[in-house]
Amino acid sequence: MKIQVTLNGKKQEWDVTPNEYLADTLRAHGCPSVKISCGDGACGTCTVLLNGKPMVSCEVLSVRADGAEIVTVEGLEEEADKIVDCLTRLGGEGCGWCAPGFVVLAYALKRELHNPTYDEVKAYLNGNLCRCTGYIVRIEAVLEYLQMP
Amino acid sequence: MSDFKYITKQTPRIEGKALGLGHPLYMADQVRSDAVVVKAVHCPYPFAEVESLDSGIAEKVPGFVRLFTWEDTGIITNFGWNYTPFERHVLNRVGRYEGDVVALVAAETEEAAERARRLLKIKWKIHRPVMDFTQALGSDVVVHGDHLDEMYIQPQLAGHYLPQKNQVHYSCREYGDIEGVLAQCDHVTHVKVYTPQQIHTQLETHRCYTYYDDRGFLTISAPTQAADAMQEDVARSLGIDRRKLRVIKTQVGGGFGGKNIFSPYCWCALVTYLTKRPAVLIFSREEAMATIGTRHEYMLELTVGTDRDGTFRAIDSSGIQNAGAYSEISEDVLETGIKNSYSLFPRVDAMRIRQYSVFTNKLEGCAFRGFGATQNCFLLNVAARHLADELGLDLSEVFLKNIARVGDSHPVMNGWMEDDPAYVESSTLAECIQRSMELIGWEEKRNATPPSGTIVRGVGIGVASHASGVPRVDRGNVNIAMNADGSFCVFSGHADIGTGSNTVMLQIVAEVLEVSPDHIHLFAADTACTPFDPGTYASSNVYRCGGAAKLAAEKMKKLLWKSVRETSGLPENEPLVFRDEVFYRENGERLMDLIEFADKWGFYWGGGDPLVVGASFPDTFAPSPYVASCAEVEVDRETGVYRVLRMSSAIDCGRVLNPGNARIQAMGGITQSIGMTMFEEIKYGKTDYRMLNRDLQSYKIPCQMDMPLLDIEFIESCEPSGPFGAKSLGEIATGSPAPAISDALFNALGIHFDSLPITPEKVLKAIQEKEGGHADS
Repeated sequence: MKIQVTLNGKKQEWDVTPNEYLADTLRAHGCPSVKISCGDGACGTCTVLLNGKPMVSCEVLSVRADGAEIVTVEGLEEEADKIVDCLTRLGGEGCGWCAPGFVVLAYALKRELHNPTYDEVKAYLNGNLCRCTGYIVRIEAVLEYLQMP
Repeated sequence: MSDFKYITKQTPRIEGKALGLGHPLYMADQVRSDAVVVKAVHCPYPFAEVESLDSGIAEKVPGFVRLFTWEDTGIITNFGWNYTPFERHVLNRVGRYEGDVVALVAAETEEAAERARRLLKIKWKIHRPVMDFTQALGSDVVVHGDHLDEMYIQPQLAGHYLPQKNQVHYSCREYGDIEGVLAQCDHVTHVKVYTPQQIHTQLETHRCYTYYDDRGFLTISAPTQAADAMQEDVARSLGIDRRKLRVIKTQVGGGFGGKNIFSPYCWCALVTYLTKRPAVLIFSREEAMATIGTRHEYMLELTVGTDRDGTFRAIDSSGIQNAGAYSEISEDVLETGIKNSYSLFPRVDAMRIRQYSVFTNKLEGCAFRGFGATQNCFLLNVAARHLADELGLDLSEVFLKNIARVGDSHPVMNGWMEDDPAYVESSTLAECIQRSMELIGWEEKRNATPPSGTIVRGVGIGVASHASGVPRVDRGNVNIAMNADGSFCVFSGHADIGTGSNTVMLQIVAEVLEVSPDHIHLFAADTACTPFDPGTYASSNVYRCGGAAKLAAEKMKKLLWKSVRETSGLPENEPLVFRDEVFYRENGERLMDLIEFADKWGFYWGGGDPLVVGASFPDTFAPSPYVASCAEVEVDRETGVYRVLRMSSAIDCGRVLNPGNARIQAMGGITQSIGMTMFEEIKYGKTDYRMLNRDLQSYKIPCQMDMPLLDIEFIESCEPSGPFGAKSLGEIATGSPAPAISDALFNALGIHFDSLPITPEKVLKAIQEKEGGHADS
């Protein structure tokens, strides 16, 4: 069936099946940043912005995205650059698999929370799993990003 | 010394930006659309064999390509080392654990492959499994009983590898008169510990992509930890000339030892080999968790004999390791685990170690960050804690009395090669112990009067040792060439599995050549063009491959300077100055920069020979890195729920070459180990023995909110054999959290927790038993 979405600012029409998940659809439409790891919404590596909110795209049926505005790391441009710079300066990308989902979440955090505390940042990032870094560096990266204009 | 330009400086990873922005670096981003999709058919029981397999309906699924069974395949040997040939076939008619792979289905699309897999009609003959590894030795259930006749046993393994008894290996070493020394000791402590199966849980699941390239080379493009060993294994399994097989490592989304398992690559390569078509196999999370491998489960006992002041005189260890259904590298985990952990306390008069590895019908054990040392370090720490308690000593004192010091030697330290002794050449472990205690506030907290309320706190300490590679076995190899544009290219077999070793290799070469890493390319882990490397294991990238990179860069520097003099018409001994990548004579006369040299050297007009060098670094010493960690916990005595509030770790990994990477390695290792200490464990059903937690909803790994505050400090030593004094860091951090947390719980509650994971249920039960209350849980 056909659905219309706005992906990273561009209007698109996709042909999807009823049982297709958004993570797979996005990967098939030029978004390799969307990583799939657990397939059941537990790890957050496939996080994208759906109508401005961070969502795990492996749990969203693509047909549900009809009419939606979707943003992935590919659409975050300079903001993604800034977040990634903060992360890599600290060595926090690890194997890299969870990094794009983290970037999306960090972007959403800056727009949602105002002057968050360390613990608020920690809680906000909780849904995105990482097996390499031990997490603390991600909080530090976000706190640095929040200082940037 | 701070006059380094590139090493010791925080340097972002060379691929960091691309990773963060989600560029298509991983295998899944590079698969051709005409690749057939491969799905594995798993055994649904712990021990069962296929009586009949009917693919009639499955073959009618539109897009079905082919079914592959045990009739299509050869053996998988073990990790290129040929430990137990014929133990395992690429596909097994007999499933020896739930998840074992009996067949493969290939189809045009993922959906078709999945449908065909479900429509296979398989009749299973179910056998009674052996699940309890403490009962496996000599059990009437023999895991490999059906094919004992085809299992070739290498002469050197005779007496150790006894599949008819479910025995994978028996390690028995005795140095000194253990019984005699124990009898003379003032005090003898005996402890028993259990450590569970833990899953690597790399966020990128296991996967493989295979195709024939334009020249007819069967090419494997996959996230692997060991390209060369995999090439050898897969070629042998398929029965093809390994020169016709090429392995290219892609970006690896997490390794931790689990991507040293070669079966998924064999399966995918088999499909391409038999169909001549590109093929892709991507495991779902559930498949990755139930099929690949785990940290080895151990039941260990230790008797320590000491003087009255806590000085160790004798260490007597025995135990059993659960290898799971196939031996894989269990023998090596057993032996290396012993070597890397008992090296921590070498100052004893007698040491005896007797450990078995056994087959069971559980998921097989494989390499996992820590490699047997994590479990044995926990045992040693638990024993030290018990005896400190019994003798009324501070645990840290016991450690300081007994740890390895510079100059110490013991046969355990180099794998029992007595005629070739190894010595501790660098260690700051004593300082690490003191520093981690300072950071946690030991003095004030360890002996604080416990509060009378429900919430109590405690602090604890743990120490660990490891190694840097495998001594007297491994080598690192690096080639360096100068390019026509004046840049350099480093060819190395090492596999960066997400640790940042690519970047450190470039930092090392840059430091020696005095050339920016931006002017150095890197090719790594491609069997067609990089020199041999045994693989990324044993924490050896920086020490062993970095060692080779340093030697090769020194050769290149010599050759380059010689060539510059030659092309400038200067005598061989003319001193040169190289500043900001420009050559000068000593009098300040500018000679040329690297681009000008490249042009003059005559890549067009046939001047000199191309500048190419290679060097090999033998891993002779495999020096131990060390760590001491302190933990502070807060326990709710009414529920047993506890939190780790803070951990402080002081680490001796030799010289730190990339501070950011090093910190992440340490923090990541600690976090993975916190998971093993607190909750990670594979659970099996009590009656059907099925694996219960095989997705990330039911198998929890530590998340952001589980994290304590972490203070990481490096107390550098300078290892004489290491590149710029470096040792290793990949695995050492996993050794100390479990001891530190269980000691902190002991400090808070006065109860010893010697069995991992220490769940709130266990804590509550122990509190209730201690207080003699109602133990109704």
